[in-house]
Amino acid sequence: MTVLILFLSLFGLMLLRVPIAVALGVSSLGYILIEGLPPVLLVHNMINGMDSFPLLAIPFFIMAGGLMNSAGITTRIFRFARSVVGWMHGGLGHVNVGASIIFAGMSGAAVADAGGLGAIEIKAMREAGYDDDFSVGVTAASSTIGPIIPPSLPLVIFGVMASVSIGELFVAGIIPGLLMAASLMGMVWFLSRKRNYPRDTEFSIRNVWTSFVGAFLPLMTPAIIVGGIVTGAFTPTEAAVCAAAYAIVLGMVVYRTLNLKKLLAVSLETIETTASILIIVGAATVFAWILTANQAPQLFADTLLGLTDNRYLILLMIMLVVLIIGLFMETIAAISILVPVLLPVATQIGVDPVHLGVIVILNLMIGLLTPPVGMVLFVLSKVSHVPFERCVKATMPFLVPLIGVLLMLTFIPELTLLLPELIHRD
Amino acid sequence: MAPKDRVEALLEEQDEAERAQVERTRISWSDVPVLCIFGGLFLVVFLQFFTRYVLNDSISWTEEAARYLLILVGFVGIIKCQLLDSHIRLEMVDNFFPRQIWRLKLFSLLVTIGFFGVVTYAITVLGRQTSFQMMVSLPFPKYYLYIAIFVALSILLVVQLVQLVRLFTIKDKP
Repeated sequence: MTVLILFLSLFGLMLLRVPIAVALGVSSLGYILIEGLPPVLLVHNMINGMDSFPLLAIPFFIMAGGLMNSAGITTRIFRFARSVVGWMHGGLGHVNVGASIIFAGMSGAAVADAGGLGAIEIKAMREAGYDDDFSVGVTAASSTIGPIIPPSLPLVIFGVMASVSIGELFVAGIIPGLLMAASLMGMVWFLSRKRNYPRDTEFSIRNVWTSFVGAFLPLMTPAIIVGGIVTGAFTPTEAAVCAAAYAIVLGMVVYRTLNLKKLLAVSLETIETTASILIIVGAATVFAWILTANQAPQLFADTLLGLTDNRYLILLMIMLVVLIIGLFMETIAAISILVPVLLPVATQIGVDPVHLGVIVILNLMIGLLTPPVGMVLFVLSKVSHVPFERCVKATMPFLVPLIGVLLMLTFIPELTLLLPELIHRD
Repeated sequence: MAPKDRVEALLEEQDEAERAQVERTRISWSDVPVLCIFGGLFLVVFLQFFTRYVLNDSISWTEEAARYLLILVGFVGIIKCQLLDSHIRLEMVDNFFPRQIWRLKLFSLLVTIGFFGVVTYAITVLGRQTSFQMMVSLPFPKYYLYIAIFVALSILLVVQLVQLVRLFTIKDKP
C-alpha cells in the first residue's frame, strides 16, 4: 500500500512538470514525515547515494563526449564511416549507423549522440535526397548504440546501484552493441532495396585510407577507453579522465579547434549535466531505500515466482516491466529505482547481474525512442525541425530490429557474458 | 559525384558553424566558483592516476577528496540548472494544457522550493549531529563539506525565490 502511494505521488508530480529529482525527493520526504522519521534521513541518504568513487566516471565521460563533439572531430568520424560503408545501398543510412558505433566508443549517452552527430547526419541525408522519415528513424535508432558500447553512463549507474564491476559491464556491452548495429544496418539495407535508395560513394581503398588517417587520432579515444578497461589497466573512472585529457590535447594542440573559452563552455555544460544526474541519483537512492524498507523487492519477487517458476517467462515479465517503466521514466531515475527491486528476483532465478544490466539498459534505451517520454526524439525533433509526432512514426520501423536484438540477448546470455568471462573471470 | 560534393560542403559548413559558435560563447563571473571546483576535481582525479601509475605511490587522500568534490559539483551545479531551467523533467503536459502553463510552472516551482527548503534545513541538522566526525584521510572535520553544501543550497533557494517573484511580475504583463 505504502509502495503504491509512493509511486502514485511520484508519477503525479512528474506529470505536473516537477523536476524528476524533486518528484523523487518529495514523495520520499512525504513518507519520511508520515512515518514520523527525522527529515535528516533524507539528506543523509541522498549524500550517501552521491558519495561513490565509480560515479566520478560520469562527469569525465560527459566531458570527453562534449569535447569530441566539437569542431573537426565529428566530421572526421563521419568522413571515415562514409568511406567504409557509403558504397552500400542506402549508403548514408549505413554511414549513420557506422558513425554511431564509433561515436559510441567516445560518449556514453544516447542523447549526446543524437544531439551532436544527429544534426549533421540528418542534414546530409536530406541533401542526398532521402526522405526525412527514414533519416530521423535511422538517426534515432542508431543513437541508442551509444550507451551499450562502452563507455556508458547508464551502465556506470547500474554498476554503482547493483555493486557490479563496471569494467565487466562495459566489456559485456561490446557484442550486444555490435549486434544492434548489424540489425539496424540490415533494416537500412532492406528498406533501401525496397525504396531504391542510392549508393553514396564508390568504394575505394584509397578513400578509406585517407579518411582513416584523418580520423586516426579521434579513433584512438575508443581504443584508449575500451582497451584500457578490457585489459584491466584502467578503472572506468581513470579511463574517463584519460579520455577527457586526451580530447583536450587533441583539440587544443593537434587540431587547434579548441580554445580556453570553448573548454570552459564544455566544462559548464558538463557540470550542468552531471549535477542534474547526480541529484537524481541522490533522490532516487532515498526512494529506493524506502522501497527496500517496505519489502517491495520481496513482494515483486514473490508475485513473479507465484505466477510461474519458468525462468524464461519470469525474465520476459521482468523485461516487460522495465519496458513499461522505460516508456514513462527518465533513464537514470529508472535504473536507480529498478535495480534494487529487480536484482533480488533476477539472482533468485540465476540471472547474472552483468547480463541483467545490459538487457535492462538496452530495454530502457528503447523507451527513449517511444512516446510519451522519448528524450532522443525530443532532441532530434529539435535539431531536424521535423514535428515530434512524425519523429515517433518515423522511428517505429527501426524498433523492430532493436526489440529483436533485445529478445535475443535476453534469452541467450552467452552473447553478453562471453567477453567478460573470457577477460575478467578465470 | 554531385551528392558527394554536397555532403562534403555540408561537413565543412558544420565545422564553420561550430567555430562561429565558440566565438559567441560567453563565460560569466558567476560561473567561476563552480568551474574552480570542477577544475579541482579534474586535478585530484588526475593526481591519483598520476601518482598510482607513474610514481607508483598513490596519495591516500585523493579518492576521498574526489568523492567530496563530486558531491559539491552536484549541489553547486544544480544552481546552474535552476538558472537555466534545465532540470530533467517531463514537459508533455505543456501540450495538453497550454493555457495552464503559468499555473503548472508556479506549482512546480513551489514544490521545488519546498523540497530544497527542507533539504537545506536538514543539512544543518546533519552538520550538527556529525560535528565531532573527522574526514577519513583528510585532516578536516566532516561538517566543512556540509557547510559548503549548505551555502550552495542557500544560493539555490535565493535563485528560486527570485524566479518566483519574476513569475508573478511576468503574469501582470499581458
